[in-house]
Amino acid sequence: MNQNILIRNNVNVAGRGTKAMLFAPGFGCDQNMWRLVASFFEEHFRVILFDYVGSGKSDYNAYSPSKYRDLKGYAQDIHDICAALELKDVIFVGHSVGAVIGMLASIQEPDRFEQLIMIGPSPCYLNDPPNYSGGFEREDLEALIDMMEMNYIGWANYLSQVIMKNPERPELSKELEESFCSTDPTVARQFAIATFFSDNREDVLKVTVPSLILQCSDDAIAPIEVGRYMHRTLSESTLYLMEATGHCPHVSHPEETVRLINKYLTTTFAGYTSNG
Amino acid sequence: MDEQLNVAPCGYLSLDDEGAILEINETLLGLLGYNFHEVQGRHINLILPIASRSFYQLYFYPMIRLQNKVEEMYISLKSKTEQDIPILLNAFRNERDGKMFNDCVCVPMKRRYEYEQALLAVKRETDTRNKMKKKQIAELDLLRHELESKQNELLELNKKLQKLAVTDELTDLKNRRSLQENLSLNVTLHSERFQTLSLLLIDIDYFKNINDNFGHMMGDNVLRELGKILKDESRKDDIAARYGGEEFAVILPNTNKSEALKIAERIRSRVEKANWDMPNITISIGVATSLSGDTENTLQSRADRALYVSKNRGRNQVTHANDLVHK
Repeated sequence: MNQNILIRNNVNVAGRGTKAMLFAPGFGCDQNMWRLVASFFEEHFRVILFDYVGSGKSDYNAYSPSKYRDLKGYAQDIHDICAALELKDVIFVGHSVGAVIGMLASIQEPDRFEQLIMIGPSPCYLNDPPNYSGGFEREDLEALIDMMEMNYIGWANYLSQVIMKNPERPELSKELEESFCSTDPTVARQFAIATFFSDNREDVLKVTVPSLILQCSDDAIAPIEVGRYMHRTLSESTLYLMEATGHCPHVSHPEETVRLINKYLTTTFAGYTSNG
Repeated sequence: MDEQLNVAPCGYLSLDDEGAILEINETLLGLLGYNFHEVQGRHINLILPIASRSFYQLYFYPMIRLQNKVEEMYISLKSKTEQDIPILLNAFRNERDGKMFNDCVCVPMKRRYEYEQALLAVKRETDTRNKMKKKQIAELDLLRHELESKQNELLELNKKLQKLAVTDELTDLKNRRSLQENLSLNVTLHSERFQTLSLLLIDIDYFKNINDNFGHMMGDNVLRELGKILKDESRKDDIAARYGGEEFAVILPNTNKSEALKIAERIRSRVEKANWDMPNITISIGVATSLSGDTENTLQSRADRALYVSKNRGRNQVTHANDLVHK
């Protein structure tokens, strides 16, 4: 069972520390997204990376449309991974929807988590006037999902399997292999809908684990108002505004990302000394 | 910029890591309706609709940073007049003079876009139709199952009704109607096949006294017990019936006089020896065996006469109709 979950979610463990640091990628991308950041923490932590079922090198056969219809299914996978590795007092680092998934997991099992580090989280992408501005109108999100749909390189493979029953096209498999983004159109579309049309604002109120919010400037996906909303609503949170622009500071500004996480952990933990 | 690149039949754009537009060629400016000064140094968001801005951050940026290239990315640009321009984009991350440039080339794909939209629409339609078909099949299946189980219930009910229609409720033997039907059928069959058929008519002696002295409940018990004995003594094809108050009959297919008499005698003796919890109960039996040209009526009336004789001769005995004729 344990082994199955580690294979199902392509779980990779590295690092010389004992304290667990679990990194959850954002929408539609796999653990490669962490490669400029995660290795830094290997000296002091037990660094755990994984892929969501339906992304990266996870077991696509484990995908179930009903389980992954909403983010709870993905939160369950976090529980499964923690249980399989017998993790306790985890420092959870989540990007974008990964942060929200970790937040949901922490509500269910608060004792498992010691800190939530959220990079560009948003509890709700849709605007809900007059009191909430998520940054998007429904048409914008639908256009975004359509654009994703037009870009899945898995399309040809998907269509050929469906229509012509061609089992494989080696050159395409290689391309899929190299890609770190969502490749299965049906899975990715469902994940996109679960991500962008979810409203987890009620859940933000239920979080008891202390958290850090890393908020980029000029983030088109999680605007600064959303970061402020999270900070205001979470029971015990710290908000760092980043110089980094965009939505993926761990890719665009890995040094600043590492530095701020370090700063937060140093002020939070006695005994943990950073070398960064 | 190189003049050839400036007017090449493709858009060219170079971005820094912050997304600022460093260079852009005439072809792309023409497509967007901007002049160079309006876009130079501005963030790429200027020429992206909202969905594309997110897409740029979610996909383009991580890809170009982690893989140093982007291939065949479909994305929409936004012209100065707010028109969406679907394009296909390739990008390389190149280093020049120690600085990083994200060089992009794009080609408008209006026709291809429409073509792909049409394909996607067909695909969605097919998906919806397949989903509906699956749902309808599931519904049909459910209906079929319901129908089958209703039919089974109906069959079961019919069986019960049929049994009720031919059964005497008290003794669970066949009733009078069923006796008549079976007798008629057997008489016809036996005469067609030149086989002999016997009929026993049985009457409980002094049954009125039992009812009067011990009550109807006891009377009913006696009827039930006799029913059991008759069933017990019946062979596979024999048909035992109750056709009146204390009157019973047994049809004995393919049975001649001597066999019929043996069976009748066995029944009589068993009733006589049974423990009834009351003064001895006995029965009188009239037996008839079919002759050529018999109908159920002639057979029945000969058995009836034989029964009458059994009664007259002091009850608790068996009489065969043939023995009357000879006297």
